Amino acid sequence: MEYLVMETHPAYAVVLGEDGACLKAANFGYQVGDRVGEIVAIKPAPAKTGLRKTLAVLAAAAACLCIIFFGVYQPNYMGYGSVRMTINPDVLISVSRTDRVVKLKGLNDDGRALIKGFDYKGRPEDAVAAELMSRASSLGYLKDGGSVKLTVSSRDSGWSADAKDALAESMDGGVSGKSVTIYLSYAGAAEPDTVIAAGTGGSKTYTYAQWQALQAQKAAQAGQSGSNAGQQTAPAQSAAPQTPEQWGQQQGDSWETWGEGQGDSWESWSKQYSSEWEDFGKSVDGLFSGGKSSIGNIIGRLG
Amino acid sequence: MSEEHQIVSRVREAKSDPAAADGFIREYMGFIKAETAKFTGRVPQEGRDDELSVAMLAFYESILAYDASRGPFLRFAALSMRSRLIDYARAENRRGAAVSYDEPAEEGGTALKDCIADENDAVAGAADRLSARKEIGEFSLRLSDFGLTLSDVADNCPRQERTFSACRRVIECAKAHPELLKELEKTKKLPMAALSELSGVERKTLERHRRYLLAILLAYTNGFEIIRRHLGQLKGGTR
Repeated sequence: MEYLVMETHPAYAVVLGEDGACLKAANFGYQVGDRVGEIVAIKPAPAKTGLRKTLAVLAAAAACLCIIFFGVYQPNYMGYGSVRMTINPDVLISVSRTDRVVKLKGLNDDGRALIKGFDYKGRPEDAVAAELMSRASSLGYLKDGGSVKLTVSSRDSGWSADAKDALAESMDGGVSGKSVTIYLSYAGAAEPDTVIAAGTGGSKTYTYAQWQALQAQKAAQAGQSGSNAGQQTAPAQSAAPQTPEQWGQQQGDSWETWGEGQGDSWESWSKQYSSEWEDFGKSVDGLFSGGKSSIGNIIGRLG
Repeated sequence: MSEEHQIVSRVREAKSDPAAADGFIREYMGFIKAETAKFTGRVPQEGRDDELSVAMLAFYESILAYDASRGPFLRFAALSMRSRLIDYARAENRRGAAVSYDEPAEEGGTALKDCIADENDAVAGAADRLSARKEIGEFSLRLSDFGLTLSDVADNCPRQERTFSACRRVIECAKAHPELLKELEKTKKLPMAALSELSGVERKTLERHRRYLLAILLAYTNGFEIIRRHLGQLKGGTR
């Protein structure tokens, strides 16, 4: 192809090809008006949005998403542990790492009735548990002399211990006008960790061993009249048990039955967590497919 | 440090201003020659060594492609020139051994160019060149009425084959409708809507290559016989 030299500069010449292409090419001593057969054309400058820049933008976006997910979404909006409250209403409280309640689930009909219309999202688990207990009392589920079992469950033992302490502190007030015994335990443990005896005259916190000794003492004082001193407690009734097994045998329908119930709760807990992981997977999918709107939702929740 | 800053600001200016680019290149001729000499192993001479012309073009490319993230400009330009010279040397090797007209035809004898008969009519060629130069000068003046230079036109020429073909369809369409060329002369504006509708090319493509299309269509108006004849083979097909 022949090119017509249109303009010359020290480093290049503007040439016009027969095909109409107007190019800058190396100036091998050309003069305007020359016709040349071969040229060394200029290489176009790389586009501003090159591959490197695109990759950098993608990497930055991925880093932002990771920060949002691991720094904000996961600790605040994903279940990290749970608290199971058993009165007669059975309720599972799913809690985030930052102690925010993310989900409430009624495990029986009474439990579902108890949580109906209850606003729990984002509130601390101890406050929710205390309020649910008061609610159970006002709805007639929790009677004077009744007991409440709270079972804390998480893969993180440190988090479980903190959650148990927070619950013990918030339950300290008990329920107004009623004597209630609150058992705090860790999921899978053979016996409760802490027992709170809350009554109209104030409340007292015991370790389970102390509580057992106290019940044995009370039973001895009551003599053999068959008083129901220990009726309000779930496990102990009369003679002081030497071991949890003996105590379990004495109680009949007490801790062993409760232990079986705990087994069921583990099953339901694992089911609930698997469903939460599914929900989480869907929400992450939604986060990527939904684009701005999902991120906007998270930022909205943060706000 | 401040010298590097100064160079960077000069480069930034040269990117958009061809005159500033020319001045900058002239100023750094010593550097360009030194880098060329490193490659060729001899001191290059202006107007004689093709390698120097290629290195100058590479230096100009460096000006256009440079940004601060690429490190110091002169190092970037040196690398760019070296890779361009390597490409050029490889292309020359592929083409086979070329013999310079300045080389002697026999040992110690006269130069080759003095022994080969020139089949071209030198006088006619010179006259043709002169008239082409005159016409191109007029064309440049005409372009300046539209606020354009030939460098602008070259920068705006489509690089991709598909876009280039689309532009050629637009030019063919305008050639077939002389009233559009008249409208261009009269209004000094591309009749975008009509061209887009008649050629079937998207208006966005026309707008993106407006300066190139304007220059080529201007060449098809009266008064630019030599350029028009040169573009005689322009058809709506592929390049």
